[in-house]
Amino acid sequence: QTVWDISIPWGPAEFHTVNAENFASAVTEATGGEVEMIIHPGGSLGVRANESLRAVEDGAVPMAEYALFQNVGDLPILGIESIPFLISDYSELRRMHDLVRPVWEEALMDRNQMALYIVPWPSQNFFTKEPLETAADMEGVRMRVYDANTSTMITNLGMTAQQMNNPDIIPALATGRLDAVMTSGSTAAAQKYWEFLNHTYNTNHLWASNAMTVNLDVWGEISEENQQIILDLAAEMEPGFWAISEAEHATRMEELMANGMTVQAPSEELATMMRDATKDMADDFIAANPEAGDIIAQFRAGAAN
Amino acid sequence: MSGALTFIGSFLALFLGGGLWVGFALMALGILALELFRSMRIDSFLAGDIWGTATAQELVTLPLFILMGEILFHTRLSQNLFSGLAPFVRRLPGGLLHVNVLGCTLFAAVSGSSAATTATVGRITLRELETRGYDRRLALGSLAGSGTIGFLIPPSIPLIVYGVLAETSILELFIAGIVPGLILAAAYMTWIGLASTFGSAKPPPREPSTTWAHKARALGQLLPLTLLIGFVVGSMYGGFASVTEAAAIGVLGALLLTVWERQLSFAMIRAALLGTVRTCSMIGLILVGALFLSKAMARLAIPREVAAAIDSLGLSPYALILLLTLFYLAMGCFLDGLSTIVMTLPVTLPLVIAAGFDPVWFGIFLIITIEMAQVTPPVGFNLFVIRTLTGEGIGRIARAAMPFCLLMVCVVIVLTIWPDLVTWLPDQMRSR
Amino acid sequence: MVAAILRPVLRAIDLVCVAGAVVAAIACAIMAVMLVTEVIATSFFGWSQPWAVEFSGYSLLAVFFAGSGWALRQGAHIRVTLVTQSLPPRGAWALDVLASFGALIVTCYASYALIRYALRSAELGSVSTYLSQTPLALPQGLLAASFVLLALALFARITRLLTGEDPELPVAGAIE
Ligand code: NA
Ligand code: NA
Repeated sequence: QTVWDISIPWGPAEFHTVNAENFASAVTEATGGEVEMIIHPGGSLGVRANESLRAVEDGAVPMAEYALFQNVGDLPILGIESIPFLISDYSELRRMHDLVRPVWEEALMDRNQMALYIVPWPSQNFFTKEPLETAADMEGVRMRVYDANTSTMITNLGMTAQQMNNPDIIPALATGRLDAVMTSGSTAAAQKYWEFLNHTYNTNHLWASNAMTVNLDVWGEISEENQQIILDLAAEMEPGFWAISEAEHATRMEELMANGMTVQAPSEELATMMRDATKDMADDFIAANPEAGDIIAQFRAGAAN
Repeated sequence: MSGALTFIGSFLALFLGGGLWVGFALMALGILALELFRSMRIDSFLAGDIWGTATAQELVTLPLFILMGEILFHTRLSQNLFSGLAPFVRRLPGGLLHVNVLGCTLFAAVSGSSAATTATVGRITLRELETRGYDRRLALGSLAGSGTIGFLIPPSIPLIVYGVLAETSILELFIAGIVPGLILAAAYMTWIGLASTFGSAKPPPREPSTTWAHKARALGQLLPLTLLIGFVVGSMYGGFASVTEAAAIGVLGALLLTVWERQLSFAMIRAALLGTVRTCSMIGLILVGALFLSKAMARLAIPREVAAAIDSLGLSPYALILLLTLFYLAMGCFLDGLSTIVMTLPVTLPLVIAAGFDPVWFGIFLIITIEMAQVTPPVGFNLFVIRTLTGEGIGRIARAAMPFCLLMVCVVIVLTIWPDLVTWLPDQMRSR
Repeated sequence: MVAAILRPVLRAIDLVCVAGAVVAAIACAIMAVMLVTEVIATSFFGWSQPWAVEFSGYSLLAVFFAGSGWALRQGAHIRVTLVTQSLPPRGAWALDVLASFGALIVTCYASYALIRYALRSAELGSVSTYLSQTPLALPQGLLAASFVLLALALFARITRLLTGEDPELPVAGAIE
């Protein structure tokens, strides 16, 4: 019998974690208990979100689920879906994944791991204390950012881009040290943003997906039969996980409204400013990752059809 | 599982008894347990874990608050605090010993970490209590106990971690912690009073009686430290500083006070910085060891299996809480309290909710179990901090802290019987 | 003869350990200055240092570990002395040598793991996800170096024990 520990940075109730639990029990059942996966949520194995790719590669943990954009320090190409305003909805995201997934898979193979399934986070939003409609509203708003991309975008918008570590965020929102955050509806609802913030803008500015990956050395230790069972299960369950993610956004927006937050599309002015602030980012990304050029060209050609 | 547990228990005793440094002992145990009971790549697991712990953002407040305490230690401010308070506590049984409890409770409003609270307050109070002839055992024990209140009174890092994992309102948790925190402080003060009146403790010296003019002057001596706490709390609640940044504001405030007292010098800053490095080196080594051992235990699935075994017993609500208290108390003896919670929460939270307890209440319950872990030997961070402050042996500090740990158990019992003590205040806020 | 060779080696180890402590102290000061600056910049100037959070993390590792070897010489690291106290001096000495050897083995293993980790980061070109894109091999290298210092300090401690010297400096500051 093989036992694999899976490191997951998110809490036990997060839908990605629930998906992983379901996947793990399906695997145990289908392999007749020969392969067992134990979920360790909340980062309890000490593997951080942005060092998970490396941890799986080194075999520090046999499996981990991690957000691709948080591991671009190790594999820059994983950030392609997070180029602002490149992808507008789930069907486009699906198309982008169809194009880029072979490239990702090869890159991950080079890093001694394989993605069993990849599932997106629900679309992104701005959550603010004060209304954010005009350029004047954005002046000096302290918005939490989490990587180089979002940092540049927020600075270009005239806001104050604020790096801040996770445990500081909720108290900072409560005291007014922080005026705004950007994330998905599921994180916003889980952390009860309505206690501190008033407005939700469905900016949909970038996409982020999680990959469930397994170290190739431990993968090679199980029978080919079991390998096939697991691969089939992953392929079979992934569309369902995507559907859950897609439904999550609407559910969470209703939850936010029920708790008194406004939920709206960004104003014309905000939308235009955001696109202007980020218009060079695709080219910058291609300059840094030449292999992305073809993929983005193909993706855009597909969108034109 | 039981094999691994027996191994860890017996080798921990062997290593610690043999005089191996605590941090090395814990790390060695983690490595050996994984080597024996799990086939895996240990070196990269260890390296990644040390790297993660050494750069963990939530620990940044620790050196900063310790530095703040060191700076204050090198000024007259601690003497002033005591001579300022002395006229007001002379009729109180236990006298100035209450400064430990009051100081920690006040400082808890600034610091989210128990080690930082203990180090900072202890640096200011212990020397003064010693020179004024107070009972050493009560001084050490009350500091160890009250240092942990920092977890219950906001801001609190463990409460944030629990809130995120349990998807429970952090705001409600923060508010819910206040009443139990104050109850705990009151329990400690009552105990100090009782022990100094009826116990075997050396009776505290009677502070001299004073005139009203003297009392007014004494109040003036309290002003600088009051201003400092106000400065830090204000920077946080005014929306200027995050919880982490507030610690740096504390350092700035302490420096400004030394300028005011005309005691700022390069030699003082150097001494304060090196003192901070000494204490942080001690904490850092034990921390990487303790956290790595926790991860090793998680890889061996020990805490979760024990929690699952408790689940399978199908206990009544009170029996469940009793067993969980004992479980966390036992785990807390040699694991980091917060790690234990993160590892076991997926099993214990649904269990407790099903038994009819409120998730906010359970959060406060868990925080008190972390507090116990801070003062139970052999691995208790407050004990280590006090050992560094005083040079006293761990065994003696642990014995001094024992009554205060038992008081925490009593408070858990009280909160279990009257859960409203926890949930009343957040309920008021919710209905508003 | 042995002493003549060892004396300068021990002195060199002491020196690099003190240098490590100085690095730790400076890192602590930088951390405080950086975070105070951050409060002022974000509160009054609508600006934020994009490096503040990232570099306070790197400073933290220096504060925790760069001075660890120096702290050992100062007797700051904690051990349980219950058994040692009840032994005759000869037995206590032997146990101390044994414990120091045990600690040296653990530290060497941790140093090996950390060096491998840092080298691998360098080889892969891993960078931080922050705006700075700092090569991770640098802070990881600092962490590995700190553990090597601790290993050297343990080696010096064992040498001093075997040559009958007091391995720890008398400490000022603690209330006895
Ligand atoms: Na606190
Ligand atoms: Na303990």
